[in-house]
Amino acid sequence: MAKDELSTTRKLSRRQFMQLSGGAAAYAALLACQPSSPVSGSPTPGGATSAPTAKVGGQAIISLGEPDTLGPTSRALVGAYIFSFIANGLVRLKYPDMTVVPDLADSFSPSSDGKTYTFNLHKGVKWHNGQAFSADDVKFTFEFMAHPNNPAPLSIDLANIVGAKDFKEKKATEITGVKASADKIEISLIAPSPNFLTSLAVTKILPKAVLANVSPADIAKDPFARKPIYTGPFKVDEWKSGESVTYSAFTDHFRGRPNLDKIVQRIFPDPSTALAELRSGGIQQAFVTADQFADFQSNPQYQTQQLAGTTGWFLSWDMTNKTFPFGEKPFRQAVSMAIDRKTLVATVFKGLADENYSLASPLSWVYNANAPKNPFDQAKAKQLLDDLGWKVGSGGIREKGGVRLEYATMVTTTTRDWFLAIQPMLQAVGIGTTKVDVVDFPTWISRLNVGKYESTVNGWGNFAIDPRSDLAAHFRSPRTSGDATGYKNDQVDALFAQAATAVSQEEQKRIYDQIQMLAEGDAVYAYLIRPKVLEVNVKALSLPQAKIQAEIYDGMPQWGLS
Amino acid sequence: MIPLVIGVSALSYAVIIFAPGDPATLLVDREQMTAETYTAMRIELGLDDPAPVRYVKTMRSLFTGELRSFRTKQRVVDTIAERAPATLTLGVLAIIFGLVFGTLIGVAQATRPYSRLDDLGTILSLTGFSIPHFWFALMLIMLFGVRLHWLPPSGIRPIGSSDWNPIAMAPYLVMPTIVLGTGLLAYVARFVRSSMLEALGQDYIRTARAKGLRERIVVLRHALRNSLLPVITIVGFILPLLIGGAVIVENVFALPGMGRLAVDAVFARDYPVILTVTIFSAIAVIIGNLISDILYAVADPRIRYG
Repeated sequence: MAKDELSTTRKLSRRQFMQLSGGAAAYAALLACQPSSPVSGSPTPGGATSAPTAKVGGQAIISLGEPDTLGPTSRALVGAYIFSFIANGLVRLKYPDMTVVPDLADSFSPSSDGKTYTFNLHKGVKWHNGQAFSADDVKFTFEFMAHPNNPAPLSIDLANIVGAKDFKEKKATEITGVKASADKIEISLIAPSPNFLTSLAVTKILPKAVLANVSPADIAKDPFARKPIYTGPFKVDEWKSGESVTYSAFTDHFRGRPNLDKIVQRIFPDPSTALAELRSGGIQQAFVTADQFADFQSNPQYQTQQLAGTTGWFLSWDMTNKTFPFGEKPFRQAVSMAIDRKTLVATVFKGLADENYSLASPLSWVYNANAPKNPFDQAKAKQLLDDLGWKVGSGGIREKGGVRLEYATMVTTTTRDWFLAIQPMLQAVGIGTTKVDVVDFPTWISRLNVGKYESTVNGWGNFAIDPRSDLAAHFRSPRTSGDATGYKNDQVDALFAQAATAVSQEEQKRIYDQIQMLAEGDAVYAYLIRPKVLEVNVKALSLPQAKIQAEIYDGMPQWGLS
Repeated sequence: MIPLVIGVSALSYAVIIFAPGDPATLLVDREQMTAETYTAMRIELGLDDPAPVRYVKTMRSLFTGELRSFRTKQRVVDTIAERAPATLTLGVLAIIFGLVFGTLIGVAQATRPYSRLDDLGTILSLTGFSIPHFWFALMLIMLFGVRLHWLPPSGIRPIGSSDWNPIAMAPYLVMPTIVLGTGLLAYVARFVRSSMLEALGQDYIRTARAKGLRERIVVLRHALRNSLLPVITIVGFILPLLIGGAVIVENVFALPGMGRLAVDAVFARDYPVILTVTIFSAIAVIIGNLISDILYAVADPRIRYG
């Protein structure tokens, strides 16, 4: 979710208004009209005229959100998508299982004690400005991140590098634990860390020659933030604020040039505009919502892909609440069993969603398929609530000790639509759902962070970081991010502590499997659905087959015009 | 004017910071947020200072031009300089469109009052006034952009061009101008019609006709000139409406203007950007009013400001 939420929120409220204003029929009729040819209006001189077999050359215009910055301080998901085709790390993440594979380093190996990693760098790598990449750039990148002038605190993984702390505190002039030699980088850690390699994958290597005189505090203000220089297959040509970002093929890229000559990323504040452009041929690729997808699926001029949902949605509660039974496991299980996910998928998402039963994505390596689930079972839900002493009272709402089981649910304009479908399911087991707080995304997230809510429709994006951090962010106590459910299980916490030092992959998997057995067994959340991510592109443009959205951008070098 | 700007800035700053939502939570994706990042972020943005201190600091850096966006860290004045041309172009075109066609319709109606033509004009201007911008915009996009392929559905210039070439940009600006200018057109038409009707009933018109002047000259030279006076005042107070309209038009047509900048800033709780855009709009409205006052005096010799 995160920033994506903003655009979805505005789009949905518009559609509702369309329905209210009676414009929906006319709108639908106009939407349904056949475009004469999706590529005809497109200004793609290279692509449109090239022979059908041509694989190299041409340009594609796509719809993608505006990044905050293209420098190393970017904190937006869209920034991560863009970095995957303009920059490189020593290693990268393989989608969708999120394992670590080589990138700028051809190979890497940990020492037997797990405290020293040696990376053999790829030879002949060039920066976008034509200069040669070297091991010094890698060392420079670490020192840039840990620089005393860098306002960002040392991340746990950075602090674990020998000498990084001294460097940050100005006690040393270099990070002694990072040694650069001709084609090698050697990194020494204070303690073996299973997360170290994953943290390297999100650290994009910076050019020393370009940034040596830029203070890390000022990097976001430097021209680099708008027109950066990296080593990736595409380079940034121009970023026109609020309008577009243009990328061109970096022909000297160390893994060979990408197929397309140019990518133009257009920035649409309103998804219906992007949709109109996709239909008129103004853009060649975009992501659309479930209600628009069927039209493109049945149109031979387009190609579509249904990708796995990046965001899993669930109901969550402030478990510290004393009035309502949010802290009691059978209550949470009962809510989960009251949810008819099949109906939710069929009605609200037109079948374009998966049922959700876990925090971890079923595609990631940490996922434990055997962790307890609480599928739809209305009778059992009622039984559980009865056993807790909440008996059906007036109006079919359960009561206990004079308190009616009727609490407030905080939703955004997006999740409100879904909650409308959930309300009758909860009411059917005697939970009152008439108190609904509709707030905007910024309000929602700050109230969630300080625990100022009773219950909410909550979502979590799975492929933003290390899948292990997904679990830690929700099940470990105290939480690193502030969102307050108040969940605490000492056994789970002990397992997280154990996981921090277990280096082997098998050991990691075993511990995280156990964590899920316990935490999912506690029914921390009542899981709902994972909406599929729906990709559409014109037939003339071929994209690699993908399982998740990040792969589409990661695979940008393979995009080509036929 | 200066006290007005100070008042506007203080008031909008208060409204902005009392709105729920914490900018620090929005700058980092929730999935990547850690407690340390959050604390560092609040310190970096100066969110823990008391509100009056933040206001004074913000205003000081605004006037030295050093105020920077929370999100992009770019200087807000630079961003506005980048975004203003689109909004100004669109605004000027919409005003011209509204004035020219509004006057034409108003005059046509006034010369044939209570005729079919007059009724049609009234229906048109009432529709133009009540039609929601975004709905109208989407309809135009669907018809002319998607179905007929006559005009590009969105954007301000062809892909790949970075300059402001009026000929290349013209097709991109047709629909936004119509959407933004239609409200003004309706307003002007109603105004011109009524003041024209009043003028046509005046003694000097009868005198002009009695002199044997042709009807064209009577209407255009004698009546229209006098009835255009009130229209000047409209332009003064239509500006806030245009700014409001620009927010929607720029969003639907994906134009890189200030209205969109403001919306994005509100959703990101980017206080420096919201504040600067608000102050700029306030100054624009104040100047607009000033210009219409001056024009009024120029156009009507009877009006003299002491």
